[in-house]
This record gives sequence, C-alpha cells and structure tokens, in this order.
Amino acid sequence: MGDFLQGVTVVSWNEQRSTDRLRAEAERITTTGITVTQLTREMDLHNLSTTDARLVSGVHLYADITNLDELLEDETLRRENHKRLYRLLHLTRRELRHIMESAFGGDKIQIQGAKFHGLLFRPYNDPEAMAADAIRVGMAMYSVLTDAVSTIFPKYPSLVPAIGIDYGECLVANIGVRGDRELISVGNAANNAAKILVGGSDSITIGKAVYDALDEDDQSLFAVEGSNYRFNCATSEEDLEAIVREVDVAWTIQSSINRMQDEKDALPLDAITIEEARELFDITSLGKTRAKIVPAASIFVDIDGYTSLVESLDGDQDQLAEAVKVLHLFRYELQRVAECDHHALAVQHQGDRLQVLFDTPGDDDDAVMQEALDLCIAFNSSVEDVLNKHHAVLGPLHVAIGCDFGDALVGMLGVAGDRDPVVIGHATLDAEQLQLQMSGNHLGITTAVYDAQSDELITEQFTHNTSIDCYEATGLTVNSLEAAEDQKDAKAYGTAAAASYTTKGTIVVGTRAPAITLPLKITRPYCA
Amino acid sequence: MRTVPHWHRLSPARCASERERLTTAPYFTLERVTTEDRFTTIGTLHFTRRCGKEYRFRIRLEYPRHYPKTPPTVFDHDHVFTPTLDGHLFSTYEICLTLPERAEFTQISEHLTHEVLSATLVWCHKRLIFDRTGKWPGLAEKHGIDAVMDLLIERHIITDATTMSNWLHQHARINGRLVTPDIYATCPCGSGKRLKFCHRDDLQPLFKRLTQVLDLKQKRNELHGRG
Repeated sequence: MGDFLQGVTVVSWNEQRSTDRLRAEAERITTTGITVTQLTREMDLHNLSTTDARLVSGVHLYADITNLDELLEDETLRRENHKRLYRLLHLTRRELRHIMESAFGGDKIQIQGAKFHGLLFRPYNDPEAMAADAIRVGMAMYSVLTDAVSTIFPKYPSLVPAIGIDYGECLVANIGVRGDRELISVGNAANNAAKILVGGSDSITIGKAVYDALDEDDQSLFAVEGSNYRFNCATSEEDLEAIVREVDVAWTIQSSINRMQDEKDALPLDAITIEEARELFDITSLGKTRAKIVPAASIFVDIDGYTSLVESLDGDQDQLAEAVKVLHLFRYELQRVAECDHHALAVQHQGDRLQVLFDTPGDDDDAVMQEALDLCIAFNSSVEDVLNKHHAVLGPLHVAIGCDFGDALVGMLGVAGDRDPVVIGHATLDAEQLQLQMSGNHLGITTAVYDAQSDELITEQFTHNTSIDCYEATGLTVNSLEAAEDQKDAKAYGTAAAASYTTKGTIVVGTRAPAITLPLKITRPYCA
Repeated sequence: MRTVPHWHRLSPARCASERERLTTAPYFTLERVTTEDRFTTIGTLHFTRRCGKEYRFRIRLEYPRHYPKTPPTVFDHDHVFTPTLDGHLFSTYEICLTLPERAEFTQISEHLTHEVLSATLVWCHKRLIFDRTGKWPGLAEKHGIDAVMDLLIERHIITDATTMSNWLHQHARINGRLVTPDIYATCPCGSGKRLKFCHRDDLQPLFKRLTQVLDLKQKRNELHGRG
C-alpha cells in the first residue's frame, strides 16, 4: 500500500488515557495534600516545596522588550543564527535579576522569553516602601535596557522597554515543569502588571494600588493613563539614577555596565553555538553557550478565568488549596498531553498558562502544522471532556489557545539550578497575541496554520475572524470533531459508492475511491 | 443419511490458504482458528476515526459447510452492540451484513473472506454512527419479507408488493412451515404464462424467505407461550 492518506488527519488523543492518569494524579495529591499559608515575616520563597503554596502580598513587576519583533529582523542581530541577540538576552536577564534580587531584595519569579517577572514582598506588610522600591527597580531596569545596553553594544539597535507594576495578593507556588526552581504566581496583581505595560513603550506603568502607596514626590512623576498611571522615561528630564538612589540601595548604572561588560567578555560570540535542530532535542541540554533554531509551531494554552476564581475565594485557605490542586491537575494534564501524547516540548508554565513548542524534524512544515493543531484540539479535549467532567470541584474552567508556525530560537538562560527556558521568534509572539485575544474554549490559529490543514473535516470547524485576521474555532474537541465526522460520513454513505481503508487506519467514504487505496465492500444490511 | 463433509475437511490445502488469507487484511488481527467441528475464526477488526479515536471489535466468523458457495456468518463476539432490527444485529449477535438473495458477495472466489471482512468493517463503522445518530447511514434493506419484495421489484420480476401479496394469498399454501406455491397458477409477473414456465426459479428466494419468516414467527410464539 502506498501513502493514500492525502487529506486525512488523525488526532492522537485518548479520553480513557487522560481519565486514568488524571484520576491517579488526583488521588496522589489528595494523599499528599496541598497547604496554602499566608507568607509571614520570617518566610521567603526559597525552598518552597511542591506541596506548599503561599499567599503573598507584594508588588509584581514585569519588564518587557517591546521591539523584539524588530530585533529579530535586524541585520546585525540576525547574523549567525541570532547569536548576538541570544547573548544580549542572557546579559540583560542576568542584570535584571541582579537588580531585583541583589540590589532590592526581591525575587525573580520567571523569565518568559524577553519578559522578566519579579516580585517584591519586603519590607513585610509595608506597601508604601514596596511601592517606592518597585518604581525604582523599574527605573534601574529601564536604564539597564537602554543606557547600559547602548554603551556596551553601540552598534546594536536600541531596545524599547516597557515596565508594568501592580500591587496585590497573589498565590505563589513552586510546581514547575523541570527540576530547576520554577515559581509561578497567580493573582490579579501579577496579571495586571503584565497587561498594563502593553502600549507603554519607554514607560513605567503602575496600577492604582501602587500609585496610592507612593509619596507625593513619586506620584508627581506619573500621569494618568486610563485607570493606571504612566511615567515616560524617554521624554522625562529626571535623572533616573538619582531617583533610584533616593532609597538606600547599592546600585549605579556604571555598576550594571561593568557587570554586563565582564559577562560579555566571559561569553565571546565564538563560545556560542546556535544550530538548526535536525532531530528532537532535550531543552535542558541547552544553555547560554548552546541554543537551537527550529521551525516549529508555537502554542500558548491559558486557563481562562483561573485568576478570577482565585480572587473570588477571598483568601479562604481551604478553598485556595482546592484551587491550587485544580491548577496542578490542569498543568499536569496539559504537560502530559504535550510531552507524552504528542512528544512536544512543554517549554514553560507561566502562571496559569503553558507555552509549548511542537516540531517533528524531518517532516515538512504542513505536516508539523497539522500535528500541532491536533495537539491544540487534544488540549481542549482534555479540559472539556475530562477535567471539567471529573475534576471541576470549583466549577468548570476553559482554556484559550493560540497557535502559529515559524522559526524559533530555543535556549536555556541562567546558571545551574536557576535556569529559564527561552523561546523567541515571530511565531511565538503571534501565538501569544492570538491566545490573549481568545476567550475560554476558543482556539485561534494563524492563516499559515489554517492553510496547512488538508482535511476539510478540520477546516470546516474554523471561521475567519476578520478583526484580528485569524481563524477561530469554538468548543473544538475530539468528541465534537467525531460528531461532525459522524454527520459527514453519514451523508457520504448516503451517496457513496465506495469506501476505502487508509494506511493510517481510517475509513474514507466518498463517491469515488481515492487512488491507491484498499477498497472496502459496502453492503446493504438486512434484518428480519 | 449421508452428510457432505465440511469444506475444510475435504481440502487441507484450502484450509491452510484460508488461514493465510485471514492474516493479510490490514484491518483485521487474527486471534485464533478452530477446526474441530466447523471452521471458525475469532479476530479483531480495527480502525481509527479521523478525529483520532481508535475502535476495536472482536468478531467471530463461522464458515458454512458449503463455503465458498455460501459466505461465512459473522458475529459480534463480545456483544458490544445491542441487537436491534434497525441496528441490523440479530438477537444471536449475528451481524446482518446483507440479504443473501441480493448476492452482494462474490461466490466461489478467493476474495470472499476479504469481502466479508471488509463489509463487516464498514458495518461496524456504520453501526457506530447509527448508535450516535439513531439513523442507519446509507442504504439498508427493509425488514423481513419486504426486503425480498423490493429486490423482486428491482429486478422487474414483480410489479408491486400488493399484487404479489394477493397472489400469495390465492396461490400459495403452507405445509407445516413450508410455503408452497401452485406452480400451475398464472405467474405474478403478468406475462399470462404459468409460474412453472415463467418465474418459478426467480421467485424461489421469496418462498424460501417466507418459510424462514414463518419459522421465525413460530419460534417467537413458542418462546412467548413458554414465557
């Protein structure tokens, strides 16, 4: 038999397999138990066990490089498979972390691509001091990303940072994908800090809670921007370094430049190898001197409404423990669907979101995109048909999914024990944007991914969303797809004179058997 | 009374080649073959829906004495499906693949087993759809004697079912469980000839089927009476 499967896709999701492993995992964590406690003065977030979660009142800070899209296209940075960009990300990550942890005593929560997420929760129960520190962390980070980078790399294009800061209570847990310490935080403050930096290029944007906690001098730096407050660092004539040093902190821009220069000298470009991936690789084998370029599908799966759920529990620690358990089950299942069922790379859990990279080296791009879409459908199927049916103790939750395809630069930045996976590329940025615009139980794919689908059973489930130029499907699961397949096959049997068996083990019914197929006999059944 | 031996006892070579044939269909995994009394085989039909779900059905093929003149009978071995008329499954879990009189399978052919297996695979696919939609997909015969009537109309042997029904009332007798027509009566096709010299052979399946229906009715009555 030849390959007579043109136009037929087979999704590999198994409801029973998902049901069984989730039941086992739910039993395991019920036995182990999850404890949620308020963070107290003597506690910190280091050595947080996987069964403990902390309610932390603190200031969340996101620092993003908003012109990453342009940097990816820059002639200088593109050379040698983006080596220079990779080193630049390594240097900035290291310095931003230094500012957050060593200079201001905060914690790095996570690096998400070019985005840094940190948390300041000291001085304990002192929002005024935390807010004052936080805007200064923002200013120091802004200075590093602009002035320090321009000093060390004068030929590189300027970075355009955006910083978002908000204050509130968040749930912090340590239930990461890999062995490295990987904190996640869930709560409105973290969400809002990430959201308010959008559109705030070259600015520090703060939420109302932070603004209210600032003294008058600091407040005067900020202008109202919708329901938030914004300080434009690029147009301001203020001496940022001087403002930073108003609080007793041992940081100067020169100290950052010196550290970054030393790190640059210790990491010459020749020491970095960035190769095209020709076979499946283990992301943990990558590091600051070794990365990969891979044509792959980028997928973001976000649990829609989880943050609101956590907020609605109003600090009830038993209920919050249930919420952490639910989050754990979601993360457990999504990761297994990705890694065990589809051999995809679960790059990183980002709060209640999972970033996934899917690639099958050797396959053509269309085949990769078809399988990537199967993976998206599998994610939604596990959520809608297993998690929501059997584990919705706090009510049903849905996932919003975004998917695009393109070259991705994959690496691991940091030092042993504290490394962050990094995946950057246009497709990653687009997939993230798509996911952000989808609501729960919705799947958004780009035109490229849509066009790569050859099975009309799949494409018929999507409609074109003209406002964001993507294709969108609602409630698309393996079971809903099977119902659509039933309708289609029933109609085909009504008119068909031929059915055939394909190499993938499917039955194709049509008015005419496709070429090179194994014909099947259609009879007219009878019963007396 | 002398009975004809089963086909597999007459020719061990054919028996071996039939075993071999059962292993070549990609959608069927042979489990075992028994040849003690009759040639019976058990195996699993498998296929995958395009949505990704995999289905497996164990079936049992019972080969008749006169195989390959008559095709094997297929059974839902694990009783996965519920026997219903519209779902084309007898209460014995025999799968109603086809109306034998329609002769959809190629008789006395080395392809017969594959034809039956592939028809069973299609039947399973259709039955899955039927179980979810409540409607049998594609063509199916009417139930009981009506299926044979339809076939005779299709073949232009009779014009309509009512005429045939009236003819049977007038010219057929029931001897025990046997339906016997008056072969000297005028043929129901309307040619004016006697049945003996016109469509006697063509109508034989109808009489045979009527006999079976009567037999079935009697069995049901007996069962009902006992219950």
